[in-house]
Amino acid sequence: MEWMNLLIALALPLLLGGLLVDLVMPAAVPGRTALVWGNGMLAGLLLVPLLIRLIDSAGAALSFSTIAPIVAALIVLLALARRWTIARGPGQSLAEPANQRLSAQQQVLLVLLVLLIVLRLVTLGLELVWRPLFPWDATMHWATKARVWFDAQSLVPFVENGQWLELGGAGVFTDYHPGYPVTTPLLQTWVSLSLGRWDESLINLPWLLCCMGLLAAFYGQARAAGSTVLTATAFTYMLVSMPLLGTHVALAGYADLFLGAIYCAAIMAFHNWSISRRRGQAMLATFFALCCPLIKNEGFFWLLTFVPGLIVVLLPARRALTLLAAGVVVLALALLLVPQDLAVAGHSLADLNLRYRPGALAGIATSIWIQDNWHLLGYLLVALPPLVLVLRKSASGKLAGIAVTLLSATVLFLFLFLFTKYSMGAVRFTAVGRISLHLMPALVFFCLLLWNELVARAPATWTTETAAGMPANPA
Amino acid sequence: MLKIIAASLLCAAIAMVAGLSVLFVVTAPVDPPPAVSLDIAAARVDLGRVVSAGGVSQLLLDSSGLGVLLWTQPGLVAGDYPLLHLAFRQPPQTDALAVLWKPANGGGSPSHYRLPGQVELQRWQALTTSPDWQGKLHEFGLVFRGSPGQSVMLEKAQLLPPTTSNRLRLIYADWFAPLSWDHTSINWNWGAGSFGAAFFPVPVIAAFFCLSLLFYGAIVTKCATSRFDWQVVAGLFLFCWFALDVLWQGKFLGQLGETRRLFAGSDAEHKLAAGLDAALVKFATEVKRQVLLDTGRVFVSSDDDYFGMRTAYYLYPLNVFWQRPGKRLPARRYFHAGDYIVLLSPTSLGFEQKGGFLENGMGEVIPVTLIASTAVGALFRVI
Repeated sequence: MEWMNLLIALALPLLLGGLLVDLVMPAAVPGRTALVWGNGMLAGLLLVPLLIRLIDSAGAALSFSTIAPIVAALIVLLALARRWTIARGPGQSLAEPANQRLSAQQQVLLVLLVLLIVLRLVTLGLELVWRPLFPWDATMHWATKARVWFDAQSLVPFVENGQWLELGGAGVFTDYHPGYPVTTPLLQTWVSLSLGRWDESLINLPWLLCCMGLLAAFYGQARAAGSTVLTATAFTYMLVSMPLLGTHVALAGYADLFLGAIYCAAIMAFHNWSISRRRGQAMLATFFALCCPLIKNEGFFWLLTFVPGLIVVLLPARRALTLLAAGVVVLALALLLVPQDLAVAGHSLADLNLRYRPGALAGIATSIWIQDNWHLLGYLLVALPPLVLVLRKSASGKLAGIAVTLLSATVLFLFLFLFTKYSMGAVRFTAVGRISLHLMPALVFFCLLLWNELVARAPATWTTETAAGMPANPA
Repeated sequence: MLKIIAASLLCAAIAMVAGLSVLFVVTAPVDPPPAVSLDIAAARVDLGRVVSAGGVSQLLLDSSGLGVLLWTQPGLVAGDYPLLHLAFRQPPQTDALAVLWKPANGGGSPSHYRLPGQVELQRWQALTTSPDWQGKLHEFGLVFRGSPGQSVMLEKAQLLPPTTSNRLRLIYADWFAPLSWDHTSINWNWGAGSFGAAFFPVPVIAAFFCLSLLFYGAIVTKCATSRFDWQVVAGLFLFCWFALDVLWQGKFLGQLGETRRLFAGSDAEHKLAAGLDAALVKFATEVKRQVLLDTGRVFVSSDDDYFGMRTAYYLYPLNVFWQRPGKRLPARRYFHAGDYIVLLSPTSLGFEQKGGFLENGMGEVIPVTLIASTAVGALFRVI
């Protein structure tokens, strides 16, 4: 019974999110199955915690027998809506586009890559299932809440140490970071509720689901962006093989993997919307981007990076540049004029203590180019500026939105470590790798897009010989 | 295309080996010190005992499962010996093996480093893995932890100088050192076992990729039938990525084996009892048994943040208070009769048993009764 409940708890987010994405995604999109269920998994992992919050705010006790039927009812409604949509749809084909012809060598490579992906997921999953909750912050401020909420069957409030003392702990709990977003601990609560007990290993299963969802969404969006099966698979393998990403699955408990996955999902959907203007992609991008702050406070700043991207996508180049320049000026003025103690997303200027901290530069460089956190991705990123120059037509055209968004995120990343008190997180390597994880999946996607552009520019003879049948970009 | 990729990689490999050989020869110490052999028969045995059976000396672990061998090596310069080589007649199958060393000045406390992963018949260990491996030594030792009475048949132990062949072994030992999760693993992965590694895998493989690109460029330029092909570049890049990934996946599989040995098949309770926090979990379970759930406000304090934080976690869902840094307790006015206080070792807070009060680190005293006391910590009830 326990295992059945656990399986249901893991399947419900997938079905809920998957059916929802299925409803908004047009049928004739390459890689649709992976796109729908990958994004659906990620969406489900966000929707279930939102539902739990809703049920709790309605005053109902949190139990699996209360929440699961509500999720199941929503799934039934979505399934009915899907049938209705298909019945009324103007002849959309549910079939995948015709498979491309791969040479024997390419087929061998494809099989090898798939096997490596499967091997990585299986080994990460075993480590996760065997090992009890391990990393430091996981037991300092993430699982603490889940443990209490599971026991209380209610989202009892967590408050700062001082407030807890003043209240005498009456009706409130405390931990090291009581104000952190609740999505991550709610996923652990959800698994515990399904098991009916607290299990230090199985509560981490959502991390594995998140990784699998990210991979499927990545593959699907890569195909939707015009990649061949082989290219999409190769980049998906590169994504899952990055050691720090794998470590965050194996040693589950931190929220950084979720934020990296959700931000990447938002970026991918944003890019494919900017090319295809499909409403479904726009809805996905909006949903995932808005959910970033629900995972970690930094998510608010990653959400803001979509503003310059949107400006570039929606406005003519000259107006966009003018607006962006104005935005930079306004931002600089805001830094000078905004009250030092005004807190935004948990941070105030006084708290950040802004000044240049050159010591962090070596830490950032070491983390990206010396440590084996991302294999060779750091060196690939070095090649991006010259590649963007070579492909300037694409970069100023269809890649402009995602390029500007990721550039904004990179500037924010560098600003965080070079100009704020968080520089110590780079000097001591305690945060720079984890914050990089928020951006690296999206940067891998950008690398894939540039690769697509390079291949598209290759001589016609080469293209026909080696990349036969590669679909054109949906644009 | 495959032939061109293979040719580029082969040329790059040859160039890399040649370059490294030149580097090694140029930078090799002119007169390296001799290797230091550590004979088990000449060792001082601090814990356990050495017996001779069939002409082979073996260490028998003591009743607590510990064995310590120490060799006095006055004036030995750590930097001259970056590599340790151990050879056993049989795999020692101990739970843990650590090296320890005492500095020559005598004032400093001994340093130690636990060797990651399982030790097999042979082990090459880069001692530069520990940032403390520096200065002059007085004593060097090996610490074995296993089951009581277990025998360890150490055939050979050597501290090795950085000769050319040893430097190659050092790189090998560094790159293929087993992965062993610790609390920094979530933040970074060096790719080598050592902070002080001479070469880290990522920049070396990146350099190898650049070399292979150069050779590919040369092939395209010199060979009239070849045209530049981005797919070749991709193939070279994927090969290098794959090389790094095989290295990581191999290490990860080693760690997975260790995780399986420790936790697989155990229920949630036994997993915690087998983990790093076993003592804290046991103590927290005892505290939970003592504390009444309906009145359970529990204040946790320790000079060690990890012990305080982790014990607080294991005490949830009780209403736990732990602050960081957790050396002090809150002001006396915040305590009510019936509250509980958990003090974990090490702590600088004093308990006056006679008067029945606890000092909170701010000069105030809190009247308490001692409920339980173990080596891990003590539980008090506020009265």
